[in-house]
Amino acid sequence: MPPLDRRDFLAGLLAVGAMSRIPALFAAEENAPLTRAIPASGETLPVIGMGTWRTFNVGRDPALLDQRQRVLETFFARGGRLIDASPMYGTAEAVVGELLERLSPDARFAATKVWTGDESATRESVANSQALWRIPRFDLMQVHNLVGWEGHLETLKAMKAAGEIRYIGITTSHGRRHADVERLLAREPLDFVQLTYNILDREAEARLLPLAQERGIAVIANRPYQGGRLFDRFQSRPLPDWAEEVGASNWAEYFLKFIVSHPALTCAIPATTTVEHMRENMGALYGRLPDAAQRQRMANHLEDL
Amino acid sequence: MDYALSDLLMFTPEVYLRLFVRANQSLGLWLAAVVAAIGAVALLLRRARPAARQGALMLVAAGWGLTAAHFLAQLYAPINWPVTGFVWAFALEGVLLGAVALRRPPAPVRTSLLVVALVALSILASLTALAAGTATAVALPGITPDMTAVGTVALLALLPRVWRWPLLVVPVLWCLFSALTHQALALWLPMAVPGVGLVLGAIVACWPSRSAARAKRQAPGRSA
Ligand SMILES: NC(=O)c1ccc[n+]([C@@H]2O[C@H](COP(=O)([O-])OP(=O)(O)OC[C@H]3O[C@@H](n4cnc5c(N)ncnc54)[C@H](OP(=O)(O)O)[C@@H]3O)[C@@H](O)[C@H]2O)c1
Repeated sequence: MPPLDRRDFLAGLLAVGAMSRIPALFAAEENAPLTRAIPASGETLPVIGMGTWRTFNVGRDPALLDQRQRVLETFFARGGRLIDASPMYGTAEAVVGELLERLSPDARFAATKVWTGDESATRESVANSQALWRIPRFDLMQVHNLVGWEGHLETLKAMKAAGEIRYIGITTSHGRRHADVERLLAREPLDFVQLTYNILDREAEARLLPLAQERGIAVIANRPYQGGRLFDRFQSRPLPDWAEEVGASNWAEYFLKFIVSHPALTCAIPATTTVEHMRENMGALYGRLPDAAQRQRMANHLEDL
Repeated sequence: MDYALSDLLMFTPEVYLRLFVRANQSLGLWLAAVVAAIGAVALLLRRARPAARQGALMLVAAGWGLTAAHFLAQLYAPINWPVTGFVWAFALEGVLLGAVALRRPPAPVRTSLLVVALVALSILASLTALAAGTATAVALPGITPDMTAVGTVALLALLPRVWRWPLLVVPVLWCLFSALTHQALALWLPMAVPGVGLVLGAIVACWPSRSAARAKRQAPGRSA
């Protein structure tokens, strides 16, 4: 073989460099974040959002604020938009507000809640949260756990009509008050419902998810990891060898892709304190989703474990 | 879908342990003053002069005030709503201890007993530091609520039994709340502090007053 001269070597390097770009071009589809439309408007949302219960309640601790800033930065860098909080979450709203100001992301979807039994205090609660988040308007305002829902919903509807908030919704968790939620989904002009849905807690599949789909209501899944318990139970086990077929390269993707592949779902909102876990969670925003048969297989697999 | 105790918890163990670091850091030079005050309490409790022992109780009362205003109100309550109620309870306990100090000195303590108490308190104080992996998270009485409660419960043994009972309410309720919080956080090592507070609280509530015990010793045959 004749020895390579410098020009051939450089040309070769260039060719290899160019070829290494080709997969990226072909993978453009794979690299687009998975999104779902909000039925009320057609606006699309990335299927993975972010919760803040426990994880962002760090008070004014400077070291922890800096650390959570990195978590939020990773969320936005990986294509996340929806952040969910509540006045119930201690300092989480204030922390999110401070970090949003530090990061000023291009796109964000701010979702919080009204959480007070005083049904005449809706506007006060929204204004208070707005001040903490340091934003002029919320994208989504939800009635937390249906607390004082009658009064709050009336005011929220008026605020939405006046353009003071973009979408309104209700929340529940742990499978509580599903009958009440069902009634409200059927009769109120809601844009969103937030409920607990994960690979082990699937009560919502029976009535709430089909109803939300039928009524054109976006669904946010809270407690996607059962508050972390899914990892406690399964993380030590290896993923099934067919996990790649359902688009999962780790357990976080396995759990999240199961959720967001349900046709009624709009997004799941896992919460985390670490950059590494945020990266894993945001991995579920990309690649393929399981079909109905694969979803069944995923659920069955956990039952067998 | 069932609730677990941990589902009710608003913050993570990391945030909780950081409270101790922040409490110590933010006090700056005052930290040295608190350490000096703890030493002073020990020394004053040995003194025969009642006023000295009353002074010790006053310092402890001030510790409750500081714990309420600094650790509880500024650091802990913002991340844990139920603590807001304890801010007032701690302030009240401080006032009660101050009022008692004006009227009744605690009994004097032998040096050997004081040394044992101080060693035990030092061990308990180090548990948050061990859990956090940094000495800066050490929990001092007069600054942090569990240690303030435990130290006070021990000191209440030096008062007549009927005086102890009202003064035990806040520390014991706090220790119960704190033990449950530690359990939910799975912070087993520092959980020993409120745990000790609860056990000590039960003992101190039942332990006879010193004067009663002395009277009993002086008339041994009477009950036979
Ligand atoms: N009624 C309501 O409106 C309601 C009720 C419940 C929840 N929510 C909302 O839903 C959000 C999510 O629910 P949740 O916070 O209760 O529970 P979750 O998201 O199911 O679980 C959070 C836990 O999972 C762990 N985790 C996250 N990503 C991980 C990963 N990649 N690998 C390993 N562990 C991971 C976290 O620990 P690390 O920090 O170590 O990552 C954390 O302990 C809440 O934050 C809140 O915004 C609303």
